[in-house]
Amino acid sequence: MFSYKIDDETELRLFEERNAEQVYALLTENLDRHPELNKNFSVDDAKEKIRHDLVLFSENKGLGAGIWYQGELAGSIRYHEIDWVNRSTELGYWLGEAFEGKGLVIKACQALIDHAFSALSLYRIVISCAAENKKSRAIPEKLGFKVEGVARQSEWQQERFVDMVIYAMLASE
Amino acid sequence: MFSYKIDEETHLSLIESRHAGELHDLIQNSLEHIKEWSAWLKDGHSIEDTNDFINRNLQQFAANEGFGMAIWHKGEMAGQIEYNYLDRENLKTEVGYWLGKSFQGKGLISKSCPVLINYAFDVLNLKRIEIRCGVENVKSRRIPEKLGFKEEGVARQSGLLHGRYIDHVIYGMLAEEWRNRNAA
Repeated sequence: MFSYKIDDETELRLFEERNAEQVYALLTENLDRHPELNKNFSVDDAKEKIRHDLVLFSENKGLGAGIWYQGELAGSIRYHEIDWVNRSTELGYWLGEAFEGKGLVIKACQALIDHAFSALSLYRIVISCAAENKKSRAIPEKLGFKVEGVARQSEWQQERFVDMVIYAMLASE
Repeated sequence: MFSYKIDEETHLSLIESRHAGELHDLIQNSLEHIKEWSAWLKDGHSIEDTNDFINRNLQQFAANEGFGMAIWHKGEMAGQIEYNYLDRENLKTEVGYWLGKSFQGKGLISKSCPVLINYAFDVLNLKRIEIRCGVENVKSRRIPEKLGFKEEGVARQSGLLHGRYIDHVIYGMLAEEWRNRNAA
């Protein structure tokens, strides 16, 4: 019901439980892009993810939204967890392969960055990407985020620890 | 950030913590007006009460049990409309609403109600929507009457309103009636 229109073809919508099947379908079509999901990932797991984000939202600690393109679910974007003491948050996103190359994640990030800095008065936004994930890294780089460092072997993905590049943008920038 | 646009001047949005100041001002500026028919609003309503109200509402939304929205008019918060509950066993809900005094007469509730009715029938797949109004609350009763709800009866002494029990008129709309009405 609640959406944020980006342009005539693109909008963000707050995820609700009833979107679980669509989320499940898009994630499982693109399973190779989601090393964080276990092999038995189910519709119920998708619902649980949505519930988790709704609880975060209700506690004023984050949100999860779908990126919709021409009426279809294309991907997702979220504030992982808003840290109100330090006024910072981290952006996360994923996109179905079929929806690549349309600038959808860039547009969605811009919307959530504007919202974080202006409406929520946050001060710092982090994006962290696996060092080898060039497509994901292109997003903060295009948006002018600054590389602050590399957290070595900080995430377990595809049976090994990978390095994460930490990008950040400050409100003043 | 997330909203439902009704027309150029009017939209609905969830009420978040950051809206507490605006909601509180709206309530304070229309305290007597809203209180006349709203049992939840008590004398001495504080900003903590407003915050609690917002938190309860968001928790209810997260639990998929209904939710309240702010009605915005020309960039100002004008009132509120909500699903009081979502009963998924019996596939029904109840819609409630109130407006700040200065936002009356603009058709804001008349415009907002159909949004919630369509969403309840088309997206949530409910079958029945109730609107309950104090028998003497003429302005509120006009809403379901204009929308074609059927007056089903009067629940006698069914609500405690600031120390006295009042009668409620129960209006009901069924999904097929709403579809037939809109098709006609």
